[in-house]
Amino acid sequence: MSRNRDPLSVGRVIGDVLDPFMRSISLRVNYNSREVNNGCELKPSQVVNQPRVDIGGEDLRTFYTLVMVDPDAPSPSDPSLREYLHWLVTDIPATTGATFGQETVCYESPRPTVGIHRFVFVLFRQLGRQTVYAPGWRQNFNTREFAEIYNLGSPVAAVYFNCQRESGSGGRRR
Amino acid sequence: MLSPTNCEGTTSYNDKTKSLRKVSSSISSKSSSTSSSPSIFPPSNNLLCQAQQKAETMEEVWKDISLASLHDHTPTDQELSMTSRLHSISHRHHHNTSPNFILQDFLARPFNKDPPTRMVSIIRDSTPFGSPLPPPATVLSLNSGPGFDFLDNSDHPQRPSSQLQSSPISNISSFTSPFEGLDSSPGLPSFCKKRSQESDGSSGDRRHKRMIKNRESAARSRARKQESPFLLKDCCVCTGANFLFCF
Repeated sequence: MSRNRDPLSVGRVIGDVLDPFMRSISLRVNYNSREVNNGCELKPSQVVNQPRVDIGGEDLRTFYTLVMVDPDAPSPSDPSLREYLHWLVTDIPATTGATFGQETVCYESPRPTVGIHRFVFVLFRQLGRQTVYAPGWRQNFNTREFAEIYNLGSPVAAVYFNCQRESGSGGRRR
Repeated sequence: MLSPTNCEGTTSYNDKTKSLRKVSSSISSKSSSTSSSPSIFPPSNNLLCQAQQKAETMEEVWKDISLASLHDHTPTDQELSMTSRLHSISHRHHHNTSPNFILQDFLARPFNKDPPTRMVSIIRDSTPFGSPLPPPATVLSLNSGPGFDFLDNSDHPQRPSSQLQSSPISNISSFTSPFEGLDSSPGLPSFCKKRSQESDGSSGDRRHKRMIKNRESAARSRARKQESPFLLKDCCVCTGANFLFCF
């Protein structure tokens, strides 16, 4: 495959946040019954509250970690706070949802001020139930390092959406 | 923070650039590295390198010229001495006695005849190029803007032009001083003040940076634009037993 058309690569999520990986678990994220598809645009008002997250898998004894980051904080052209951690949920049993896990870092509503930000959900498989320590602060979170420290390995699923400030006028012509 | 042994900044940046290169090497064969910021698309890598090379040669030129100026001039007497020297040159060579002579005339003069004053010799010393006239003109023209348009225009009233007489000479020797001189004199437009901040040679740099940032923004826009045809495909992919290998 000379040119990769996978949305995660095209949107540079693979590159800026993640390394190439193999999807193996389904990940569905819904904000008020609006499903998040790669690259779709959502407004801050639509993502104020935490979404409903459903994950696949088979065995209830397998646990997953969900990370939500903004790699374009504070601005896509100057992402000095890359990545900004918005949500961290651990010990999610397979086939269930985020509400069944441990909310290590509570959900923070996206509030982009400058530019169009990508918000990425990443799902990792845990080796077992494990204690994950919340970082001291949300900014400059590094998903790759985080996965390494907790032996999470490669992601098993990821999805992202775009979001700009409520009155923003950038993005595709509508 | 959770980073184990090393500080976040440099190492994670290096890792990022490594992984970026891995990804981008599959897309293109070019793999030049940049020093300032992780550029995502290979074409902008090359542009950044070229921009940096151009900026470096420009830096040398600016340094030479401003260094030459430091040897010979005191900041306070600069304008007066310049003006007097300029007048002496113009009188001696009977070339252009009008007070509104343009910079290009001044540049042309010392290379046609022997320089009578120390001041003119600075021009020769400071230019690092072998051929006299075009390089200094192009060097100076990079910073050209309202300031230089001012010099060319002979319609200006007497007072500003008398101030500007001194500026061509000081422009050649020191690029910051003429604008400082202009700053101190009343009655000049405000845009000259802005020029003083850019005239130390970094305006070319800033332009390059702006261009590169624009290109990155355009690349992000294109990336976003390409998403829509694939949304439907991605929906199907993410269910249960489907496997998709991402490069």
